[in-house]
Amino acid sequence: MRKKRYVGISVITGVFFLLTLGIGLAFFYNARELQQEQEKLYKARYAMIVEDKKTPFWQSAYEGARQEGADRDILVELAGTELSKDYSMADLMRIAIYSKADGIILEADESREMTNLINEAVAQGINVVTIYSDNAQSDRCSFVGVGGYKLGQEYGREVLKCAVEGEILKVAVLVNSTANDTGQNILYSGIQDTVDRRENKEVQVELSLVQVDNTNAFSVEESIRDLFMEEELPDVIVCLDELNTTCTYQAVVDYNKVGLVKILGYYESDTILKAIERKVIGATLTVNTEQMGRYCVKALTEYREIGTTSQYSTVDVKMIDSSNVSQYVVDAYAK
Amino acid sequence: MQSRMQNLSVQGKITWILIASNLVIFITILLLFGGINQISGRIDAVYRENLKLNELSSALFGVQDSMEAYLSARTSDSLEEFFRNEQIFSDMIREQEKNVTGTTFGYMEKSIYAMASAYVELVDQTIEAKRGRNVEKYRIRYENATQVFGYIQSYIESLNQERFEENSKTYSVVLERFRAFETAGSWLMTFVLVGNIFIIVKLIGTIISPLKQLAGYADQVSAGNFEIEITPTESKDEIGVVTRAFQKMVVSIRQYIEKLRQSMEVEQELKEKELLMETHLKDAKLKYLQAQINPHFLFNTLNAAAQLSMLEEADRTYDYLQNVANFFRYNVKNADEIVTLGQELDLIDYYIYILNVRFSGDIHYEKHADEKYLMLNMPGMILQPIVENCVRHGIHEMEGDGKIWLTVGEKNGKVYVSIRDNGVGMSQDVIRKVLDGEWRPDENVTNSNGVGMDNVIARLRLYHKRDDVMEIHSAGENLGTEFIVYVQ
Repeated sequence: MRKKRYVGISVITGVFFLLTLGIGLAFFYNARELQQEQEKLYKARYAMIVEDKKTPFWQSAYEGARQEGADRDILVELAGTELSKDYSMADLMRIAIYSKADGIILEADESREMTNLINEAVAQGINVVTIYSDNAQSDRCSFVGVGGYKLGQEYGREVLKCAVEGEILKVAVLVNSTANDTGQNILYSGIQDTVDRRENKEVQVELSLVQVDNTNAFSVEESIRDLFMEEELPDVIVCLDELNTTCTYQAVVDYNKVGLVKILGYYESDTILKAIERKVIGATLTVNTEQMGRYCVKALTEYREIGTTSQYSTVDVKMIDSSNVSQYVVDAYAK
Repeated sequence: MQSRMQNLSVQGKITWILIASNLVIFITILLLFGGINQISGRIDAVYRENLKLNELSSALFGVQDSMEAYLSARTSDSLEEFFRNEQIFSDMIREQEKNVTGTTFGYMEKSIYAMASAYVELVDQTIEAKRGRNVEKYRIRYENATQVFGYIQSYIESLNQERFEENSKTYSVVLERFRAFETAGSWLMTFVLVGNIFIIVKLIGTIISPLKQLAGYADQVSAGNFEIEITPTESKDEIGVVTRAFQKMVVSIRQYIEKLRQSMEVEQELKEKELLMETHLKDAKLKYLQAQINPHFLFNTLNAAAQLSMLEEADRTYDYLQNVANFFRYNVKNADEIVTLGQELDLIDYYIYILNVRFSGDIHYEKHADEKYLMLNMPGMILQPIVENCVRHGIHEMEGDGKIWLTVGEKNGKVYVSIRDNGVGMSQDVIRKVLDGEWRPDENVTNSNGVGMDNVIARLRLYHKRDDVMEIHSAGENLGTEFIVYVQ
């Protein structure tokens, strides 16, 4: 009887000791874990320098680049986002050079200043990959972008779908006034060529270029609205970037021109996808921006490691219209 | 372990329990402190980085300011100041660069240090150009340096800001964790405390319980129950020792009592035998006496003799025979009964008469008794043996005429009978022996009626239920003896 009591109390004491020790240790390690919480360590740093870094288009491209970089233990930073001041592209390039980045992903243009900066960076041993828009005469090691001509062809085909036999289809292509690169021109010629080579010659298409003032932050919206103030509206408006698409969509809604003006947009932001669902925007061409970002990091790393890479890579282009928009909406929500 | 625990003394056991419970509390507190220390370390780290960046920023300003001072005034003092500041700044960069890790913030810091190095180079070149008076060159380099200065400043600010935001987030997480830790810690301490108290109470209870059991046994033993069953214990501690000793003691007491009982039984048996023998002896004596003579036959014979002596007109013989017949009748009838004082006095008259006839009137007997006392009750055969004692030991052994005085009186509300002789007297030793019942004279049984002094005293004491029933006084040798018997 007494022995039993001894055994019972011994078991209780043992369990109590172990329990106390266990809980105590759990406490200690719990606190220690907090102390040891470590951030990811990277081996290199690439600076990604783009103009409109806040748009979903570039955010998505950056996300792709960042992901690819993280997979390779490379830190990809979107230059200027963390800085309190708003620096110009040239300043951001200089910062990247001075701060000795391991590589630069640059949304270039064909300006001389840009060429010089790229060349200076390369001279300092920093490799540069241009993204989306190129600076062909510089020493950049690779360009990752959209085949402008191919994109133009896609737009051309969509334009032709809108045409009605016996009527003249007026098409306005919005181009940015400051874009002194060749990309837009190539794209425009892609549309032009597709329209010109149409099989049904009964269809009449009148293509025109409309300049959109993008010299400052808010002028795009203003100049698109100016378009709607005019007497004669085009039947189809082709927008070549995300901001133009969004502004045009808003203008069509505001001026009550839904159904009268067909919009062919660019990129797949939530707003644009919603507009397609509501049939305000007929179709949008989208670039796989994430892929674009990934390709840049790949090209840069490849070049750093083996000294060579493909000079030119294109990313996939897709057309989204009311027939397949739902799938993209689902994907967007999933993201 | 259990047996080792059992082998410990009570003090050892309690000491171990207290040490263990204190150890548990100590370890718990140590772990909690360790945890708190870890968390507070994290809080420290939150602000250390900001401090570092601020130091770097002020050193940067020092370089820029002193450079500008030199460029504008070109004094040797300002140049000296510049070199000093530049040295501090460069050292700081070198020092801090070592600890930079490859994290996101680490790379921002790396950028700052890279730009700072470029800045130092540019500043050096600017100063160089200024000293060489190359105006155009130092102007452009100054602009470049200032531009980089701006970049660095902007970076430091941004990094500070980012860090602050990150740290604030971390801080709130840490704080939350700290609170949670605090609450959980309190619960843990409460748990440990309650658990400890519970276990201490239980363990000490387990140690003490045999003692309580022992106390229960002791109570039972003190109440006279020696037949208790004591549970055997294996414990080697003091309580175990005491329990075993108690167990042995109880067994010993039991055995002792048994022995005592047995010896008392034997003694009792012996006494009974002795008494029985005495009774038998007395019985035998009585039977012997009775067998010798049938009392009725004796009385009839005596009566016949008395009538005969009356017919023959022998009056003295008649009286004598009458007295003898009365004496024996009384003796046979009233030996162990309650009689009156008057009857006892009559018996003495018969006895004295018979004696005087036997011993030719040697004994002078005087009696003073008030009639009011004659009906008092008392045990029979008390006074005659005393008178016989006076005659046999007091008077017969003296020379001259023996006298016996009998007085019935009252003293302090008690009625007494005083029997006094003028015989040889008694020594105090003999008086004490007589009163204590130890006196055994070499008596000739045939000369007595068989009732001794010890018997008289014993019966008186039994009757009165007290000890002071008789007094014996003797002034000395040949000065006589007085017996005082309290009748009431």
